[in-house]
Amino acid sequence: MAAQPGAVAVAANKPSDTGALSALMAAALALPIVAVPINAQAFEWSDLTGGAVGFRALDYREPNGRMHIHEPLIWLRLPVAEKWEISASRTIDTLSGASPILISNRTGTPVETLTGASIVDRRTAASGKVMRRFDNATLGVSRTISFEKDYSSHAFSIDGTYDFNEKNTTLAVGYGKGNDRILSVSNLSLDKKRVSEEYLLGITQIIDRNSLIQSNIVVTDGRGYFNDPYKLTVSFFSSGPFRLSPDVRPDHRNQFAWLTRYKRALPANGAVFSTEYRFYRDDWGVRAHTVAASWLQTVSEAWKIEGGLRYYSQAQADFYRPQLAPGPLPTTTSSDQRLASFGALEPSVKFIYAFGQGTTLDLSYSNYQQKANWKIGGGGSFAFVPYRANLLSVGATHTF
Amino acid sequence: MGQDLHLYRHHFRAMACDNELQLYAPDARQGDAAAHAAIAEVKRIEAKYSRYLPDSVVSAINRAAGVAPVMLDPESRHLLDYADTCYRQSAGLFDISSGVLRRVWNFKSLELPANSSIGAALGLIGWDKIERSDTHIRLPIAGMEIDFGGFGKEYAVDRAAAILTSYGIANAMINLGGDLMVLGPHPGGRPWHVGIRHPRTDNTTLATLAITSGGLASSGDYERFIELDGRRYSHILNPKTGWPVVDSFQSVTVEAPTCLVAGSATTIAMLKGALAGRDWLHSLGLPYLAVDADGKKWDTAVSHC
Repeated sequence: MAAQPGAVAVAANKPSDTGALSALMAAALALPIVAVPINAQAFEWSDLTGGAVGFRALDYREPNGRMHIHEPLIWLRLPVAEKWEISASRTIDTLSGASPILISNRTGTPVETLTGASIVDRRTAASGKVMRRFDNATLGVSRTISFEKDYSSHAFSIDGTYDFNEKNTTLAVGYGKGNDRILSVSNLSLDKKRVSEEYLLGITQIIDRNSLIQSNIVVTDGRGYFNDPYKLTVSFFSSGPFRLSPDVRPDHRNQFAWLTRYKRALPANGAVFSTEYRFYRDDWGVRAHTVAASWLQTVSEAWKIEGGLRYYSQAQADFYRPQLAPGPLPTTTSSDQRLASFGALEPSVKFIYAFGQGTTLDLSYSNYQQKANWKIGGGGSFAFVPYRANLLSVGATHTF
Repeated sequence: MGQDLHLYRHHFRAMACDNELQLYAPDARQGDAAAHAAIAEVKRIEAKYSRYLPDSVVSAINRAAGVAPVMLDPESRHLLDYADTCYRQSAGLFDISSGVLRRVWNFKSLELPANSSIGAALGLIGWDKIERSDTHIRLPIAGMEIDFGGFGKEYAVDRAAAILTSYGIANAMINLGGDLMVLGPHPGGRPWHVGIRHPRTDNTTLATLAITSGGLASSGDYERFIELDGRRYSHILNPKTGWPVVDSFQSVTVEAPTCLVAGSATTIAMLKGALAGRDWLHSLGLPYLAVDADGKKWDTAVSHC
């Protein structure tokens, strides 16, 4: 800008027809000063640079009372010397209920029943992360450990973000590695390992003041023991003895997931609209599509309500078999319903209440339901047992 | 850009603040010449308009209260015109004669002033009572005072920016105690990252702003208030009632084409209180960020999820 001494250079780039601004600008520019265009991005609140502590409890119930998970989580985030941030969380899951097995009845039709024994287990998980902020970048290192009686997991990850294009574009890359150890309470000689490596590449683009688009690709390469040591498929035949077959899965799993999300603020309506699509495939033959949308509405200064709907459709793994035919045992087979063909719907509602002074409380409820014929194009796996669960979550956050 | 530019930083004290000037220039000689001229301009304005210096224009006007008119130079006249505009646009809340209330309200004490002393001070307040022509000003009552505290620093920011511009400096940021002007980005277009001070927590930021050009000013109560019987009296005093504004913002930041306008926008928002202040900010159409008395955050974008 090559203005003369005391010259008025450029007027506001956002013409406003309000009398007050015009009057103030006119009076200011009678003085020997310069005016420059307002050229800045939206204010970025420093929630991430202040400390915060939070609590969340998740209650997960199936209508038949089969599985009941109570998951309290406490987390803490602390800024250290402006550029550094450490965060930590701790979870204790209390799982109670029976792990389902699939059996077929005398006529050969599989039905699901409950085992008599009830599993009560506890999972303890903790994670920690250290992040360093730079002018246009962040670098983070994290570590997660998780223990159950029959399972342990140690994982670490390193991730970075880089802002460019005047902070309108953020590139994210990440690498993580997890080492899992699988044991069994019913087979004390079982002690297997599983290693998975995860790669993330993501981009976030701010489109304008009120909207952004985000796209992430995550590739996971897993090797080792993927079987469920507790799962047995019991097959009855019209004649002859029934057959018990263990869960045997490939010793590798390569997964690919691509998520694209669009978010738009509607300031005039006091609302934020989000929509996303996720594509998933793996080398077990599973293909899945997820479509979700949500609407967050500001109701008053304190209240916000969010409503959402998620639809999921999956095509089964190559080795999914709800029951086995007579003959030699296949090299890989599983009756795990999570590997079946099905569709699922999950409507949800969330209430958020802000007390002011940095404290918010939220309550969310969702109803998850899956059915074979809800898969895209209908059909779905034979003998799929419809499944329903209610999830209730309560959370509190206090920033300081 | 034909030549390499280098960053030169200057820190200096003026107007009872720690101030900072960062500019890009081809060499130290040109950078220092521009910086020294800009800093000299800030000190000139301080000397001319400080109410603490006996030789200042403001002191001369105040000394002559109830007596004679004082002659005005063009700069002072335009500044008073600006103050007049603020007075009218704020329906009388922004009043440069309200400084006498500071003598009544002592925010270091834990006592409220007597109603009689507030009433006496109110008798000395009123921009509309002041006699003004194009060349002269007269405070009609002995004891009346005006001060430029509400906009002098912001004006100095804008003047320093104008001086830098006259030296051909196109990439610079001048910050006088938190009120600032960004003339242009770092060479190559990278914005300046400005941290907005948290009104309640020392040494932490409330928000950050990436800015390539524009004026920015903040007002806040910054923990200066009296809390008595469960009510919080801020140090923002309403010149009409003589009482502090209740339920004002903890902090307001506004971005505008000049630091002067940004500063007046924040001051008037504080005076109006959180509710009417938000309407005021909204009506201006300027980017803003505010925290109300309950710690609730407001800005020009709707939500932060």
